[in-house]
Amino acid sequence: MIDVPADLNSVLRRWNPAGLDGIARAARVTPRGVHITGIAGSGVSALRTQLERSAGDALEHSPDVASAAAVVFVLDAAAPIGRRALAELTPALESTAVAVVVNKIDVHREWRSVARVVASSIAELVPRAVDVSFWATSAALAERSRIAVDPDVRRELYEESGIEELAAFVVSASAQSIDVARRRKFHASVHAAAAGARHEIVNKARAVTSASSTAGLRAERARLTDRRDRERAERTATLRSRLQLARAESIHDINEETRGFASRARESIATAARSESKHLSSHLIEQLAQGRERVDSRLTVRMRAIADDLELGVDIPAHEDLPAESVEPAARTKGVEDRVMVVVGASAGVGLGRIAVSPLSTVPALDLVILPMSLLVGALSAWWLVRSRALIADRAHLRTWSADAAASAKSSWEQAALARVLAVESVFVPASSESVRSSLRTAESDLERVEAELRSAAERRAGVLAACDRDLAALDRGVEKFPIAHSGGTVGIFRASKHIDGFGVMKEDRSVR
Amino acid sequence: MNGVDQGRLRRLASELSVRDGELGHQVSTALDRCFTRIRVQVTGRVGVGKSTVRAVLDHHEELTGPDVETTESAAVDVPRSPDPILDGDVLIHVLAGGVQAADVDVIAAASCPVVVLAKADTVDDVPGAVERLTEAVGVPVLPLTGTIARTVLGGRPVTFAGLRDGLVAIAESALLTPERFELADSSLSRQDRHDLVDAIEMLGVRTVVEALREDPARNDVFLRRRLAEVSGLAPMMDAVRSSIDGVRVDRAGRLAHRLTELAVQFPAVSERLEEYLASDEAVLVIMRSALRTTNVAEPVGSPVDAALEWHRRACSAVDPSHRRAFFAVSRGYLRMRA
Repeated sequence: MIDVPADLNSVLRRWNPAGLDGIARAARVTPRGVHITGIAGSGVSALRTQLERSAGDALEHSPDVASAAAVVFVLDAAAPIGRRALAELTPALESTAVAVVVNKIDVHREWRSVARVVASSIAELVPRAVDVSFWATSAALAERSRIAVDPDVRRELYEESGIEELAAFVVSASAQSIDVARRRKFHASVHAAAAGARHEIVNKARAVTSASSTAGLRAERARLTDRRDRERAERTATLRSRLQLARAESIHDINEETRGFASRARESIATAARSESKHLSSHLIEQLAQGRERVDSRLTVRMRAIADDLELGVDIPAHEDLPAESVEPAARTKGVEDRVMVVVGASAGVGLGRIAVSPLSTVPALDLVILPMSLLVGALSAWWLVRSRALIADRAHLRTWSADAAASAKSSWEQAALARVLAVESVFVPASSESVRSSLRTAESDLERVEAELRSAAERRAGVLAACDRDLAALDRGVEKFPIAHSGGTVGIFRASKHIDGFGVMKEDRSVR
Repeated sequence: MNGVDQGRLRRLASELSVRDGELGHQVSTALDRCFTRIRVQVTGRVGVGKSTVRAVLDHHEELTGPDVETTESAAVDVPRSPDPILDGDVLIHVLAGGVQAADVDVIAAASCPVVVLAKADTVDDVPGAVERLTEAVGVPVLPLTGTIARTVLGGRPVTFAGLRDGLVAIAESALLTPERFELADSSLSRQDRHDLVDAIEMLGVRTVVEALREDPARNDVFLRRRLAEVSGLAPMMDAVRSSIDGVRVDRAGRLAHRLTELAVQFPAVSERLEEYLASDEAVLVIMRSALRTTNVAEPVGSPVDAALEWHRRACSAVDPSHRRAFFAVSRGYLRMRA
């Protein structure tokens, strides 16, 4: 026996240490005797009894496959060998001379086809079988032959049972050179260990090359590339649209505010008493100023929201103080209608006075009082008429003034708001560009990091694969030194029992391959 | 078919669907599930005689009728091919000779298996082998000589005249193996003997020869009956039928349970459903399935005593399905009393 080469040994130690133990065990074992086993219910014990009876002391039993020089595996001729039974038999086939016995041929008419299927399954599925031969027997016939009275029948039955030939084969196989048997077992254990290691290596290589290990990195790379490509356009478009929106909202705001001011002013003017109307104008001016404050503060809030949402990190430029656009109404100039009103009021008052005192003229004693009274009543009504007319004129004046003030406030606020939006835009656009640039820089550096990780993963994978390749090559090289010792003479030979002449079956051995 | 009047329930479902479409649909689905075909699946390893068992089953009308379907699955435990999916309602697993790990796995995974030892003629000690196999798989194993059963069911062999005539010439040792029988000296032609062995195996030949040696005057009908007895056909068919009946009872019980659930779920429109569930038919179905679930001996005595005993069992049961079943049986007895 040759030792396991150092490189094969190191590969096995790395990938399949249990296999090395198996090799060591196989090197120590001394194969002796025959191990008889098989599928339960196929007549293993009956066959063992018959073999013992036939071979006598020449048959030495071995407790397991590992220490046996030959293995007898008994199958029922009822059905071909199954997947699990074949898997159980495979290690024995690869390490030891095996006689696969198809038993109970006396009761199963299809035993030939069953035996053929078994032989072809083993030939196809266990290519490393070292020495396998197929036998057809009937332990029951052998048993029956013992009680036959007629010696001819007895002899015929015994020959038909096939036990004698099997016993001869088993004895010769178990008596074969121990060196040969041990070498077979040793080589088989090396092959088995190498197969285990190969399995492990292939699994490892599969795990390394599978896409799942770098899937996370590749997804991140795709995300970063996407962000890089879309960031600039998206941010610019967002800033622009938000500013437009803020502008439109401010204009709308200003319209609302001035309309509200106008309606409130109209109401106050309509209900104001004479004494209030003097201070009304200053009150309205104050309201206008407050409205302007409100518009301004709302615009500021909008701008700040844009700056916060886009993470611009700049201050909102303060608004410039515009000159107070509203001025007190000019004093009403008295025109010709006032004077007309004085004349009309006086004459109407005198007339009214006279009508009012006319009932007194029926009393002659009061003649003296009538004239002064009518004059007094006329003067009083003339004074009231002139005063009322002045109040109406003042209100009309104030109303005109408030409408003018609202219109001029509107235009000046709009101007101020647009100017402010423009000023903010001129601050925001550079700030936005700067933030886009910095985030692009971050994305680029992230992308570089991910790319580097992917590259290193690929290198690592290449390294592992190369190591796997090296180990596989070492396995192949090492295993070549342990050839499978096929003993060409018996592989695939099917031995049918004699005396079945006349049914297309040969008398002696025949090959099924 | 399983104690449930399908026509009546279908009418009930269509009435219910007029009142509440969802309830009608649910009842129809439950009915479909209950009355779908029962699938009998024959399985086993390669070459154990699945097809013969299938052919034997095909000779029985109740297994090929409209409500039962018999199929043969691919073989299990075949090298380099996956095992088939075994999803039949009744699984007939065929063994030949010994039992292997693959057989034990298949039988353990099946819910309602019937295990058949086909080629029982090839086993020396049939009772002993059956006992060993039963112990190994944990389910009663039924011996069957499929070839004989199939031949007898098919009304063959047409006549035993040839065997009757050549009887004297057949030596005892010629009956040991088919090959010896075919090679032996006899007045029957070799081809006839070959066909005879093909039809009834050596066991059948031996049985016929024995019967004729006892009394040469026995007629062919007697011989065929003897062959049917030897083949083990009747016990296997009884087992298959009782498995199918079990599936029917289970399905009917599940249907009754589902209808009860639906009656609770749709209280507004369920008076017809409750009427049905209170009918004799439904109570018997529930009781039968409950007795099958519990699998406990029935107490003797008057219905009231029995009802009390079942009620006591229900109160002490731990498994909820058993508890439900015990209560169902107790209610059934009380109803019998009323």
